[in-house]
Amino acid sequence: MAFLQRASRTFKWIHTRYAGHPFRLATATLQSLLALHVFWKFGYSVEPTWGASMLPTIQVMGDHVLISKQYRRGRGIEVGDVVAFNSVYEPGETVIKRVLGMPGDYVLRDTPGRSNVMLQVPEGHCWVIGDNIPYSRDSRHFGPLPMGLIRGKVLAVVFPWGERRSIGREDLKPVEN
Amino acid sequence: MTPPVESWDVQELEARTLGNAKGRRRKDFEGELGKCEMLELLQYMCEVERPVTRDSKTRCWPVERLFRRCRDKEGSFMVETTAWEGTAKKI
Amino acid sequence: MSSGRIFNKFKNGISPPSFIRGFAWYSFVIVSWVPAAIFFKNNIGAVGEVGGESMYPYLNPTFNEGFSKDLCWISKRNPAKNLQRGMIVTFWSPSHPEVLSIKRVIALPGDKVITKAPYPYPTAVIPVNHVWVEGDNKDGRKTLDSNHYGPISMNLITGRVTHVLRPWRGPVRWWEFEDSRRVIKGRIQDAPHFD
Repeated sequence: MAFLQRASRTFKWIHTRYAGHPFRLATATLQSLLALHVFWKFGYSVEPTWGASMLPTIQVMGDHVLISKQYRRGRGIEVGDVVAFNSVYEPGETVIKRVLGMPGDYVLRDTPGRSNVMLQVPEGHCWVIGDNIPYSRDSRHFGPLPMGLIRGKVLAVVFPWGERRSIGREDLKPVEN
Repeated sequence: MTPPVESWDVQELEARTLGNAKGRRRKDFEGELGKCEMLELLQYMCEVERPVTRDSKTRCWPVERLFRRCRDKEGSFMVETTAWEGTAKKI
Repeated sequence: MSSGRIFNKFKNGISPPSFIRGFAWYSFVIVSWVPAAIFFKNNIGAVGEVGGESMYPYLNPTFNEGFSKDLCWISKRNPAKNLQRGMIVTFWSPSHPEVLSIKRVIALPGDKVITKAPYPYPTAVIPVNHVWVEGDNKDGRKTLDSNHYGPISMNLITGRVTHVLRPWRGPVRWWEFEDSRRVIKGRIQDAPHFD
């Protein structure tokens, strides 16, 4: 009962403060929108995806992923993680791929089986490849990815809710020798 | 490719792992990849039946990628060994 | 509206709810403006301090003589749109992703640059959506730039230096920058794309 009383007092206070005061209401709305924007940019966001390059991990359309921006610019990212980054060649586009190499790591330059050529990932960069190898344009085409372009880590598919699933480093599994 | 990066054949792999990202010799690591923890990641070759929609029949064939997680004085680093010990090795 | 009246408009009828009093309420009011400040800093503009001597002598000419670093105004509004040769930009360094670098744009997509050490090839053609950046400092050892990490993606650019504030030098006159003799201008249609 005490909770309901406090709740109704809060609503009354909100009503007296904002009803008939459009300037105050506009300011509060603006502040709320900007707070949401800051949360989206530096905390978490849910974004739609499109494309076949990350099959079967992410469907060609309709999957929405949860992205944590705390991993922006590659902080805390490890091999096996799936990241969302600003496209190297297209302004304004976001691309999602899996990280196969961090600075100093050693990776295959081309599609497995195509050649035996390798390289060492340079400082400040990572190597990204889409899970659906033939349909992905990735580091095999545009080279090492500067980590400054990374917007965050893809943690999971959250919509459709019935098909929600976690995504990432757990796909990199130890092998019994 | 930007930035310019040197590439080399997998035969040089063990020797190349002796140097870190800055080009300096790794400490506490002697190039013995076989002793490092082995990890595997599956990627795929997928075919989607046209027209391409969410419900189109999709068939995927797995492509195995092998890695070795090795340690040096500064921590750990990953070496992709798909071409060094994997079935994807191009003979 | 005078500032006094604006302040009263905020205060009028503001009696904080009885369960949050005094200091906590006023802290909340201040904190509620933090997202707006962050938004302004990331999308409109900010004051930046120039760190090193890579842009000597234009920026930080007294770098070795004292402790004060130049201050500049960095515009954040569409910094990579309509870039011109000679503009000074801030961007996340390809070699150190947490470091913001300040350099001058020397070449645009389609241009061909005669490179300097330690770049491994004598020339470089700038691909689509990339630019070649260099510090003004003639001493190549004092600047880490495209000659080390190649052309940078325009999506790394976070701002454009439009004014030098301290010492006050007014707007950056990027159009007066002498066309570098090491840049052969090309057309954006000729710029290589990765596929």
